[in-house]
Amino acid sequence: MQIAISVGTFMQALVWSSILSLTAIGITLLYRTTRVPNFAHASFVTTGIYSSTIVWVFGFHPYWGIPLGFILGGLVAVLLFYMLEPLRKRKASIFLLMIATLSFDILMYGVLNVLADTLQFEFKILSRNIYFVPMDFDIVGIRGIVLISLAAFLVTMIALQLLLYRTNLGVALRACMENPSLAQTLGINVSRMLLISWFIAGATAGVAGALLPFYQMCNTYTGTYYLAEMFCASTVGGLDYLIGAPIGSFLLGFAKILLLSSLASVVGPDIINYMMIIPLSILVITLAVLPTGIAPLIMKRRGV
Amino acid sequence: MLRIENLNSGYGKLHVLYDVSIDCGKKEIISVIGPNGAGKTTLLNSIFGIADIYSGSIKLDGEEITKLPPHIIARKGVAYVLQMINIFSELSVDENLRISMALSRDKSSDMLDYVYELFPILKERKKQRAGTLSGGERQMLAMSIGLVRNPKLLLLDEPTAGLMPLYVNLIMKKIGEIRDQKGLSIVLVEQNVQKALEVADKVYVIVSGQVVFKGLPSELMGEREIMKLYLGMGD
Repeated sequence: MQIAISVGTFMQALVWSSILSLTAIGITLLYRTTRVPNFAHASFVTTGIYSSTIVWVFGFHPYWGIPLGFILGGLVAVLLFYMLEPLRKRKASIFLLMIATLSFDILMYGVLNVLADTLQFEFKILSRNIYFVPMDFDIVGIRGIVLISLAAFLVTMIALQLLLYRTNLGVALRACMENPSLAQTLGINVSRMLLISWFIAGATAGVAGALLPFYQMCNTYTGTYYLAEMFCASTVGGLDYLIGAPIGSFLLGFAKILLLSSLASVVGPDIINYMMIIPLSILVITLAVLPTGIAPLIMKRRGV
Repeated sequence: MLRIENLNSGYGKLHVLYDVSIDCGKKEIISVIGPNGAGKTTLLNSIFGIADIYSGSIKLDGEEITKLPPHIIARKGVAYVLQMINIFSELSVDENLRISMALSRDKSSDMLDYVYELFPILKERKKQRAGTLSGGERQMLAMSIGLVRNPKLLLLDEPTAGLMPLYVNLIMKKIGEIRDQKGLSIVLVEQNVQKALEVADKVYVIVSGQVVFKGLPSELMGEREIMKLYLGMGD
């Protein structure tokens, strides 16, 4: 029994780390290309949550919400890009752009609540208690979400690696991340590269959102609730390297789930109310020891 | 190759250049000199579509490029070597050049071999992180990033700024070689008047956003007042 609980906890940590990675990748990517901390990432995730809800309402299995979450999350991010682009072209400060992402997030929160109300009143579903765990499948005792979240994470990482290091588009994206002014002199359309970055960031967050209801109960506030943790994962991993996002996510994800599980057995289940202390504590400790996060340390040792 | 007529440009409401007209022929180096804040870099930024153009015309090989975005101008064969932040400092020397080549339309060119011949030190340092190069080596790399794209027109913004005399001479010598060997047209913005005159086919002096002299370098040497008042040379 004890072993079964441990394996279950490990699986839970694996799922949460994979989902967190999918959100943190976008935050790091956008920070690398635009230097803007994107608060609207919460909306991209929540858009994913309601993508799987919509496909379920229309009679499909909620896992079909993954491709829809990819597309809708990406499109919402593109919408935000077009809102920010005039500000960027007028050389608005990073602070102003950051506030603009926050405003967009508030706007999207309203839109998603309208969607939730519509689903509730028109389709008679509990649209603020989205929970698909009972609909999940099992393969040899392993829950579907374990396999699918891990697969989504791995496919995303491999696809990003191939895109960035094997294609001219990736070369252009990397050039924009490193030095947009110089990239421009090489004939790169910096605006288009930013647009692509926003789409990728929104799409991966949308996929994460589509998976979330298989992990926990979700509502229109879920994305916002986890926003701080997404930023913690990106920052702990290191905002200057894309690989930092999964490193930070897996460290935080496993630390949170395993520590919570251990502490809950000692002090009781109420400890869950304080779960956000764990990622925030890791962030504080990491930044005190490694101000630029973990990834630069690893990459420099590898000579990258 | 490059013809600028009655150009008025600047940044937003800050009007910098007034009715500037400049010609740069094929296989020609024109040096643009003038005191600090005269508008020399703004001229390059205007050609490359970075500054705001209020009126006037910029033509490349007879084709209007006024107000085109920078990436389109780059694709038409213009390479701009910025004065600052002109290399990808986190990447190796070789990666810097290969990124530039990968994004070039002319991927079959032998320009990579050419820049390694032109600046052999870069070949020795090809695996080194670009951010660790010396000032002179960085400038060579910056010029090479522009050159590997096999451009028709090279815009150089103060390529010798902050370099020790050994590198100043080397860079200027190489600029002349690039024109002679590859037939490029070059617009050279330079603070080092003497060196700029040595390498130039034509020279323009810009003061307060206006062209106050255009002609041969030898003719400028005879303009004692301009040399003294604006360029700090002569008695």
